Amino acid sequence: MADNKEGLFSKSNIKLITNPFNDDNPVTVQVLGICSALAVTVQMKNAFVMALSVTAVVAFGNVIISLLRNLIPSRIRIIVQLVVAAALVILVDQILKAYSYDVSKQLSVFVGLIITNCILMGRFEAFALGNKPWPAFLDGLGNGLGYGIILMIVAFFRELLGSGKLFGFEILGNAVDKTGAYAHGYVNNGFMLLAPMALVMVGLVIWVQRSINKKLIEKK
Amino acid sequence: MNRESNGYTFLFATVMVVLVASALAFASKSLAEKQNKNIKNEKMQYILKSFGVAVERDSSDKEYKKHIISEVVFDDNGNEISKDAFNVDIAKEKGKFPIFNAEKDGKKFYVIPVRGMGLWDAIWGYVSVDENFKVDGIVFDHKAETPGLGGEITQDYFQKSFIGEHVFDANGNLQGLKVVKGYTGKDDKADGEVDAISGATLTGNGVTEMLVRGLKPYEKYLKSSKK
Repeated sequence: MADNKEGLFSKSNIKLITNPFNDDNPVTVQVLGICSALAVTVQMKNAFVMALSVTAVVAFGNVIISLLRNLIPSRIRIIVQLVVAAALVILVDQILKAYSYDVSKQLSVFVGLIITNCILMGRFEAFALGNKPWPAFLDGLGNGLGYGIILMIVAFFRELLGSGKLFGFEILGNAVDKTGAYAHGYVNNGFMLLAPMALVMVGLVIWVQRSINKKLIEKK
Repeated sequence: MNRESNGYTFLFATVMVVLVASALAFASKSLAEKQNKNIKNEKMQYILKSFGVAVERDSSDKEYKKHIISEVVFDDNGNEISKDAFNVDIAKEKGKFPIFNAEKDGKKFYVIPVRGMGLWDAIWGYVSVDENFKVDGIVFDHKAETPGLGGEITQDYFQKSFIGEHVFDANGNLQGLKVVKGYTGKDDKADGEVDAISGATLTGNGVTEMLVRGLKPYEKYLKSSKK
């Protein structure tokens, strides 16, 4: 991996950020973090804050694990990773409660759920334990954003078709006062708001991604 | 020291736990004041909103002092036990019933806090009634109802549908406020009843239960205050 003579933004370092967007996406290729993709993608706003929080926690968690990588006893490394993740998540939660109360209310239990996000443990174990802090930071950033982009895509369709809004703004008119599209008999698809639809959406995203990026298709 | 030895492992775990625990304790203590202030301001904001005073959360403190004339807490028997209604946590303190007497534009309102269970977790709210016990406004909040379904109880269109309903029926008996499913043949449902949210039957049932049970202890107080 990256050695000392390598520049901060060398080719292989940049790849750490760009790969998770397509070839190595944590959600659609590694199929991690699906649970939260169900829970927070009803509204784009929630998905956005969740994506930011996860990105922050993975990036800084990766740095911490990477700094400690020569000290951590390998027999308890999973526990150490869990403690680092949990501590960071609680910090994020406390800071949100103090300085961004509305957002913390919106996310409520989902902030705590970041702890159980498989992407965190996956990146700590697979990358941070064997790499220097800077590449680990980039890897965390890339994976967090790669996760975020899928969340946003899924949330876009779920919020638009499920409640006719985007980021809380009424795009298709008001469903109660029957304005805009609703005046012509359009109705919201309530199924979009339920968890199963998130799985269907993720499935569709995977389908689209694989038909564009042929190398992701497994050989028989 | 050997990184794989038992001694090292124990040492590492101990140091880690102590460090992380102190860091978290420090963060929690130093942020607690700001967090509590947010929660308090929000409560004031909700109480004010229930009788139509819209304020930003940060400035709710000032408006609250202006509009709330008095606070009363009474017990099961209707005896007054305290004047500090604001700091009563109805989730924990059973048998204490706080009520807020408010005034806006020369009109008097009673603001009653209620708390119940939705589909997934707690729901709560503030009901504001005028001197004829007609609902002037209502505010709901919830902890974990489904966004877009049960979570809609925090939306204006649902909360506004309660305005104008009476808490007591024509004979002066407490009827509470009910969320009712289905078309009753008229666009406006019977007095004390409002339209349910499609797909949120269980949250709606929770709201009904909360409002019927939650208003019951206030029956005596409201009736006696009218005389």
